[in-house]
Amino acid sequence: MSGENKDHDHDHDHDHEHEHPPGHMHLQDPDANVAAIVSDLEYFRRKRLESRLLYMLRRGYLPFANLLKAAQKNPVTEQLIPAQDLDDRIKALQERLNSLVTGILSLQIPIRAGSIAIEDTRFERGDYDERLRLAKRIYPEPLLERLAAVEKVMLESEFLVATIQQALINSGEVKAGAFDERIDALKSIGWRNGARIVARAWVDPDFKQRLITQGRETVRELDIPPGKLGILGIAENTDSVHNVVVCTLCSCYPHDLLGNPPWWYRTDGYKERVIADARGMLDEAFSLKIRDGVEIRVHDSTSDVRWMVIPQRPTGTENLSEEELANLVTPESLVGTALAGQTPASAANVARGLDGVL
Amino acid sequence: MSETAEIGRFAVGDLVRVRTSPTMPTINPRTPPYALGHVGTVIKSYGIIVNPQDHHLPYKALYTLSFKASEIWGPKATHVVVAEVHDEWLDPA
Repeated sequence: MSGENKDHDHDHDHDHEHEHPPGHMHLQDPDANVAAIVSDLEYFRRKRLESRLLYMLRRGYLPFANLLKAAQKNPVTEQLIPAQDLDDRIKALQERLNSLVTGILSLQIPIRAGSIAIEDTRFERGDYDERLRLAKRIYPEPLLERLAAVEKVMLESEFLVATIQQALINSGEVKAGAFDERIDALKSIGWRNGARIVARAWVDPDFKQRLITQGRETVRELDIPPGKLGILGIAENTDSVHNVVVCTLCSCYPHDLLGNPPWWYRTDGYKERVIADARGMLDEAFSLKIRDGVEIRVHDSTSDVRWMVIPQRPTGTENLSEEELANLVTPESLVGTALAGQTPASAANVARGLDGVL
Repeated sequence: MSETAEIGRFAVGDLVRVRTSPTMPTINPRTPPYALGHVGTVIKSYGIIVNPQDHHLPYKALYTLSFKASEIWGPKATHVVVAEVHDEWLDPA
């Protein structure tokens, strides 16, 4: 899980897709792209945003009346007029989702002196008790109706984030400006930290050994803040072992070091299939065929031990600099659903491969 | 995160069976359901870990266990599942 890392989380995993100049990317499969947005929107709304709000209300950190007062003055109330072009409309939603997720994660700022353990929030949001689980929204099937429904929930969630932030400031729980600082800090944590760690491990076997035996403190050598969410598990791919990471109980990941995992990491489809049929799922959803002689190890992360994969260094890269090597690492390769130096499967491919069980 | 010298009942290489309920009341519900009742091998022992971001109190000693997926999901599952489980969820196998 977990997600409840109060201290560090990060902007969204789609960010590597956004490195292309806007307009450059044509969406091959609008349905699959919208499915990915719905999956993430629902995850963050139910597991992070609304459950966090309930948590604060129940414990009295945020009185109901303060929330209502803040809502009255909230500037986020009007829906933007959606773009005419379907691609533009979907891309606009992807960008809003990125900002929304960062906003939601900024709410995990420590409030008052009370100690909030990750365990508390997981109980609260129903990870262990279905009766406490927030209901999933039903989105209509036809694409245009579906998009309109997503835009509506997006706006409601943006409204809720801004209202909670304002209410916490008004209540004196959080200083004005603290959320902006938090969002800036979150944006500096990302999977590129993982790419740098992997590249150093490739060129420096002693570093790799220290990383495996001593864990996350080792990344200080790269001037990367090590974070403090549980133990960092290091799973190294070799000629005979291919490692894959999942968190079947929630969505534990070393967020504080590597930012957010790819979007499908949080989906039920991925969790259920990878744990029971890793070889078949890697092939069907990720177009990754692992030879029969190679053992696949699926690491089921918990908040106690959060795993990352060191992918194999591609052949023919002997002359590359450490920086060039880091460019071969992708967020997907850090969880073992792609090889380093290989283009990861598209969102559409993954959504289809997971049978739409998102 | 620091580890104490206090170690649990099992050592690396031991076969353990995951209990369907813990040996003592615990607020730790985190054992994956698919592993309940199955036998795994201890591949790493952490002792009692301190994880204040997560727990209010220290839990019992933590181990990394390795399971053959074929024993849980049948012969088609050719992979290995690696999961962390605390001491109070385990019996000697």
